[in-house]
Amino acid sequence: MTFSLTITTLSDVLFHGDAKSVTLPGSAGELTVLAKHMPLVTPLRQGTITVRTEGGEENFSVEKGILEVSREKVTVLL
Amino acid sequence: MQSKAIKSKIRAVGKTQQVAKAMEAVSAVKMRKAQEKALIARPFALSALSILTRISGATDLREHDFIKSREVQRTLMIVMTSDRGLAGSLNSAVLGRAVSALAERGRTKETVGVIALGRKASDYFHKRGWNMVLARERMEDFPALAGLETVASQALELYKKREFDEVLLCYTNFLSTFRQEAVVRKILPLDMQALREVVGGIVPVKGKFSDLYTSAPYRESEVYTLEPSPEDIFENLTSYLVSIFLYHGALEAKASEFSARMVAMKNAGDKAEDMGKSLNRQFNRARQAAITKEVSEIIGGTLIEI
Repeated sequence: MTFSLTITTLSDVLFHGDAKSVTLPGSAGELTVLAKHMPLVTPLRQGTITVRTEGGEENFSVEKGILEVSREKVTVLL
Repeated sequence: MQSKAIKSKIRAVGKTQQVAKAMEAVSAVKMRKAQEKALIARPFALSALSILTRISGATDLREHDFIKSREVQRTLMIVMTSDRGLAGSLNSAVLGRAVSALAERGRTKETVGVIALGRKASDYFHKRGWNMVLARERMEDFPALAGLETVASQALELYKKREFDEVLLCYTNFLSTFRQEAVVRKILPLDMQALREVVGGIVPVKGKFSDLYTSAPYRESEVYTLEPSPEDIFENLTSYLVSIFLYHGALEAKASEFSARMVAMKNAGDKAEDMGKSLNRQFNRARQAAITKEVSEIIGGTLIEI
């Protein structure tokens, strides 16, 4: 089961496509988002984002940012 | 005119034409780059905006300092101009618009603080004795977010401390290469409509990532879990958004500056070419006149000898 994930910074779109899961450093602790996660908004702290897709794994480092999980898609703003 | 004087004038005009042409080409490239940057930043800004819209709908933030409008007594005006001239009426339009917007609101010099970004703005307001909160010169050609974040946080801080009751931004909106428009937008208290206009303001939507532009509609029933607290996230996002707001304004101002300069230089180059042509004609006429005179003198001389 996959969901639509977008990771974007002001100067670039880092990831835009379907993902199986994504693990992020939330301000309240590490969290993993799967498909059908409940709607959530939370700031991110410094750490690494791991995206798992059908094709494999991708990592992005993060300084600060915001995660939004809605019914349709997951958006990460760095 | 002496043919020698004309010749040096022709050379000068030719040089001017060359400079104008070079500047035109450089401005054209820079303009395209500034537009591109603005386009890339758009998905980000739109996402941030839609998150903000959704959480402000999901939780009651109407009483929050950043949203609730209060009686305006003092205004903070952020003005963006270029550092250098040779860009037609671009800067005078922005400065005129800023001053007239303040006059419309009934503000006087005593009740206004100015943040001037760009040398033309800082010179203008400084010379006329306005209250300067911050003046920055030598703006980069392609502004970085980091530089504007400090401006944004300073503006937010002053607003929070109630030193100002309203924050406005005046810059040049880029409509097309031939049309730029000086606009004034309200930044604080937050106005979603105005934010949307700024972010949506750049170039038609097409191509790569264009599906990101259509943000999902806000649904009342959707309940968001907000961690740690709605207020925290809201403040976090607001400071983000205000800097993005400024960033976009700066990009638009830059795109406008370059295109205005490009057009101004094109006109100058064309004019120089016309002038060169007419000077050339003048020079040929003068040369011909000199030859004719010489020939007739020689003929006159021989006639006398005979």
